[in-house]
Amino acid sequence: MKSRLKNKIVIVIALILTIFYFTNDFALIDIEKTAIIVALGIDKVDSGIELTAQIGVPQASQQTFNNEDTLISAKGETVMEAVENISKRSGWFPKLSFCNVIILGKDLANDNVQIVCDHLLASEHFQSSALLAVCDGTARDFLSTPTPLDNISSFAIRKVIVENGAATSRVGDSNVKSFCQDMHGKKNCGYMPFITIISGEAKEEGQTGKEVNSGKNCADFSEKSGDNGLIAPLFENCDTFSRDRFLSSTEGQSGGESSPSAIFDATKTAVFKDGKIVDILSEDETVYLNLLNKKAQRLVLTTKIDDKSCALEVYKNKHNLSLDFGVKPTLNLDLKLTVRVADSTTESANNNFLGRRSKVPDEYLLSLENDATTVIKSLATRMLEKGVDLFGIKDRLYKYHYFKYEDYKNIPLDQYLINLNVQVLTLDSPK
Amino acid sequence: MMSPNEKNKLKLRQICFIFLAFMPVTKIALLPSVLAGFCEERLFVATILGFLLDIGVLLCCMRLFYKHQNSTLFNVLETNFSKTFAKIVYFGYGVYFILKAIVPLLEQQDYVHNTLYEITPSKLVFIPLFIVSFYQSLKGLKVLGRSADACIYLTALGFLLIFFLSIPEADFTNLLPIIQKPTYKPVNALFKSIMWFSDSVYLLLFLGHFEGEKRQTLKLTLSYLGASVVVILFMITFYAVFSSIANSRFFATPELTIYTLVDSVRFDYVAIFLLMFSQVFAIILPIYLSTKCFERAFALKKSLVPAIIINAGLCIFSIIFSGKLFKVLGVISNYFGYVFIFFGYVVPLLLLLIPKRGKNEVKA
Repeated sequence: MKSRLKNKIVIVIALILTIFYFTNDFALIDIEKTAIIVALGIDKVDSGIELTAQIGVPQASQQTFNNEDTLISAKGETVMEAVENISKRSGWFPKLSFCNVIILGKDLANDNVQIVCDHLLASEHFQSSALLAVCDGTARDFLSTPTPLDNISSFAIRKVIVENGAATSRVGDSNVKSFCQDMHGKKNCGYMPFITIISGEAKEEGQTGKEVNSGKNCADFSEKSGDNGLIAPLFENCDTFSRDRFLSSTEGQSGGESSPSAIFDATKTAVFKDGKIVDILSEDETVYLNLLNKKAQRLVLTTKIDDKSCALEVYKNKHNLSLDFGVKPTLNLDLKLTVRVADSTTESANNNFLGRRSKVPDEYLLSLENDATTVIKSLATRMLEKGVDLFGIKDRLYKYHYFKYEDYKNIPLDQYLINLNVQVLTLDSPK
Repeated sequence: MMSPNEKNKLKLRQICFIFLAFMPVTKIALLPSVLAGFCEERLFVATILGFLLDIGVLLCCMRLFYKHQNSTLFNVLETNFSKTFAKIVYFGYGVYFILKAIVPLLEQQDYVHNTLYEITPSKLVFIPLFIVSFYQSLKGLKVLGRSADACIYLTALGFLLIFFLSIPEADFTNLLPIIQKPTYKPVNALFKSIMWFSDSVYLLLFLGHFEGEKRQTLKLTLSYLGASVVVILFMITFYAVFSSIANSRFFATPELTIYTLVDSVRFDYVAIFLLMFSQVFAIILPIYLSTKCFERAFALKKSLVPAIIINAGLCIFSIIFSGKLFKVLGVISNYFGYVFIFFGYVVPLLLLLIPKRGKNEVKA
């Protein structure tokens, strides 16, 4: 009996000790004094770095708040110094574990993002899975931009980068880890989405434009829908917005309820080499870069013959990048797309659509093949001429041609020939 | 006279579980990044070399087991040399096991601080580990066996979850090229990280404290091999996920899984907690053996005094050197590497030279 009691006491003490050891009870964080940072904007300023932190504010169902209320900014010579300054200024412990989006200002991207990204990677305060993006302006302005997609702008940016499945094929997404991996690897180059603002002003004429420009309606709309895949087509034809024009229009608004009128676009891609931005890929180039690198998801490509267009859904993309060392070193880019009709304004591609999907007419397959060849050829040539190893030539050289690595590693990239082979096939209709 | 420890013998199954449950969990925090720093994609080569040496030591121990009819190491040394010599060797192993406990201890401390705490916690937060360690040190060997019996499931489940969550993010082509020009990098990496290896030397101290079974050498070797395979797979996955930045990812486990869970609930913490629980007992293992070595070296009747001194000493050490893991690691790796090689590999080999004697035959 005595020994059983002793054992029970020992078990209870062991459990209590375990709970103390594995929980945070010795160092409780006062939740009221903790700022949970959901996004960071990093800009280059004369004195070093300006850090803008967006704080996750709990939202009551009937209340709305201004996006700018969620921002705190501070300056410092380094990122960490700026984080410390935020803490000093606000009296809050900045909790960075939930910081999922990091926006870099264009000035910083033109200067050197490598030091900042290395710090983000090395610091134990940051999540290396945080999404990275560079914006067309200052990160501070982007984070303070009201948007109909969400009350917190960084959540809206995050949505256009990853949350919509289709976006992953249209966006050159990157996180701190993958970007630093590319920059420190044999490639010595990397990419991340280039965020621009698209205005809703252009839509004022139309019915949907009114919805988007009305603050209340927008909030309702975003709450009910939550799917930017529905909203995005409304702005498909909008021009890229001049940021300054947009800011002046929002500044003009008197206080009270802000009127969200901008959405973000992340379909362009900024390419970096040696820490500096060297090129910006167009929307098409981004799509084909993704098709050459990863599996496509819910991707629709539109091709036109005369005025008739045909939207083709990419069912499967088979890609292969390889190197040959004949007379001249050659980069082989093979892309095989299997597509099916998603929608079309031409009758030949739409016949019997409801019954079963029609085969894609050969002329549209050829048209898409030509489109793809033109875009990829132009992209590859431009990158190699600029010495940007976007297709991982040196990485492949090391991995698959190790014994030739020493001989070829110093050969300039523009010496490589490009052998491009694009094939577009139609998916047979199900029997 | 039989020591109290000799009365409660381990079962062979429990020794197998000690290897399977405790050996892999001490090698998943800092070791992958240290090895990647030395030999990049060939980190798994260094790991394989280390485990081959360990299995060699395990086979040496089993040879001693057969040669000396399952006598304890102390008895073997006493019979063939002298009691004083046996005490000196046990004292040496006592110090060796303390040294062997230091790196995993500080590693665990930093790992817990980094993984579970947002702000630097009080240094006292680690004290409960020493209370558990002190309690366990007072007990017989069975306590090790029982903790291994319990932890084997936690370790297995923890690793399964880790692999399940990290493999989708892994690009195994990062380990290419497999065949490379031979270099000394993996050997150098192994030497610099030798304090993480040589866990099979524990078996030397278990000699005479477990009941023999049929095909015991095979069972023990397969257990050690199984644990080694888990670690090698972990190393491979680690490099496949991080490649060129692997040397900067110091606490691998939470980092490995996070990319798959970007938009999901962080249930990887389940795996982290499971493995951390096993790590506690894995760290206590060398502390426990050190206590027992000092008990025999100073011919004490109970483990109380060495248990207090060692646990209090390590507790103070961990408070003083909290957050200075890399400095301590540098000192141990630069100045004590040969100590680890000597006690971990050379002594078991030298013990094979001891001739076989009759059970009651004492050296004249």
